[in-house]
Amino acid sequence: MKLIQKIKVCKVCFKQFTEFNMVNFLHPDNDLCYECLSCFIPIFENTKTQNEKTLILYEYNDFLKNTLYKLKGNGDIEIASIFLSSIYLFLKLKYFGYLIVLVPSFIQREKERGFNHLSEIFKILKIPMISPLIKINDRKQSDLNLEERKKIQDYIIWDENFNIKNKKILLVDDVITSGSTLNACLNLVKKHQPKKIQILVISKAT
Amino acid sequence: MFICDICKNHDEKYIGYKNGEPYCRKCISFQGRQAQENNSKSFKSKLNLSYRLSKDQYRASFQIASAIGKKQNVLVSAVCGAGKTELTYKVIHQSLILGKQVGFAIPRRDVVIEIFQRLKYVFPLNKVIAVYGGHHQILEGEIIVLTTHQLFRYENYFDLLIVDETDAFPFAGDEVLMNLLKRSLKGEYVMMSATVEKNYLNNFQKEGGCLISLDQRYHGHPLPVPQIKEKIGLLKYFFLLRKLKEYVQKQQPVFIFTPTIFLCEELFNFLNKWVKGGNYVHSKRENRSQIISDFRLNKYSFLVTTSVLERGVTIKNLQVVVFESDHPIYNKATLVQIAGRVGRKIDAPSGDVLFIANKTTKFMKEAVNEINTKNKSL
Repeated sequence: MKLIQKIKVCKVCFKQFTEFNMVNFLHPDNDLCYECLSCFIPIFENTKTQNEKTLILYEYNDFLKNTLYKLKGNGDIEIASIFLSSIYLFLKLKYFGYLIVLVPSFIQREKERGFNHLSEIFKILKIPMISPLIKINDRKQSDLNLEERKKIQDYIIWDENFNIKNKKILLVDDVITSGSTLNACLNLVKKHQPKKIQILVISKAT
Repeated sequence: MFICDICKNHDEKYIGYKNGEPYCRKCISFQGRQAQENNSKSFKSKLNLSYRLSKDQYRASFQIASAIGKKQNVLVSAVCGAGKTELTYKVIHQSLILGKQVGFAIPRRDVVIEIFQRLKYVFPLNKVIAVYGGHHQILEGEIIVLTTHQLFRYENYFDLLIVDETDAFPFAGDEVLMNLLKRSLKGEYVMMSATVEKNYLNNFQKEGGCLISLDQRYHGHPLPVPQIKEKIGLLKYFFLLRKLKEYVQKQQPVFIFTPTIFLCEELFNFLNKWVKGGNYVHSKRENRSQIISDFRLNKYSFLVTTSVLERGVTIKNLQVVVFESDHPIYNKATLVQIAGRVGRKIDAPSGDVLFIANKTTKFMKEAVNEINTKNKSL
């Protein structure tokens, strides 16, 4: 009964809700009202990137785009937890024993924002996390065309302090578009001989 | 307790924590480049009007100018089609000569662009700029026409701020935008609206503001009164189709207002099978300004639209249909505004306004009553 009476405030639309539905029952720490939650459409698409298993979680729609912009553009850190709060149990079991490697963002942007948005999103999985990849120039991939996007591999370097030999690696990113950044990161990770690589992305833009 | 600098919010549900520091989540999207002080003021201005104001307009614009001269805030309550924008030319002219910073804020982006072009023509000697979402490279000018959302760029900046269409979404009832407006003010403001709420009016008069009302259109004809048509289910569609065919035969342009984007597209697909030569617009349509300017040139016979065209549009001999006017997005102010689209030109002062709905709502009745009382006071 306590569960039903608890009043929560939706993190996206600030509406109060006391709804008792199946998702709230399974995940008591879900922070979205039913309308906002139903805007996230899970697809769980399995694809392959350079022969490595890739899991795409959600459909790319306006709602996802806007929430990601609130997080990355406006720096609204509270919103980070909503992306995985309704499915994190499944992911936690699926990637048990892995080590998360974050796809890098430019260091100065991170400082401006005050946090790394990827580590905030994936924090909820409670899987150990490292960020050995460093991006050394500040060009947004979304401003470039396909030819220029491929040059990204010259701008990402590996921090030699990290050793991932014989470890299971989970490479995570928010949205992939052409896949150039992901490919460049994957090449660098592969050079350091991990035991196994899997990839997890929130969404894929088309 | 934490109170936000920008929007004065202290409600706990809007406060987030970033690295232990509290921040306001309510106004977080209002951040960006701030405007600099404008140092290139010309202290001169020329009013370039190609037509004469009516007697009532002249009186009202003189009242506004003298109230601002006495450092009073002004609230203008005028019916749709009274020529509200023209009323402000005199006070803008007077302030520009004194070297004051003038702002013109409107909630709607389409209206900003229209007003910007009008002001540029009327004040040829002054630098007029438009600031709206996606168009904010230049922030400094003598007259700044901007959306109410962009007010966050100007802190303690305007000596004279004119706010038009204060009853429009998203400004109406939004605390954040109201606080942003107060934050950007240095001098006085002029608020203009077709429908003023009673409790707001009482507050305003207590604070010593000056109320100016204009209950007549500039051409002196009464406002068209909406006709309510109660139809059920599919009958609504057939009734609409019959009316539309009538209008198209008489070569009268028609706006059909729909509550949602989805219904807008569906209804257009249905109507297009029977009546050719129409089009539809909503906020997601990319080339909507092109479609609207084509519609002005009579290239389309009818236009299915959402509430994007509810304000600031003047088209000769227009007829209006509000489809499903019992939808909750239509309140009294919106319905009065929509009815005010009709009969705005002096050579076509009347026209039809139809509310087609399953049932008559409170707001529909109120809207009709308000228009009737305004017509009686003529």
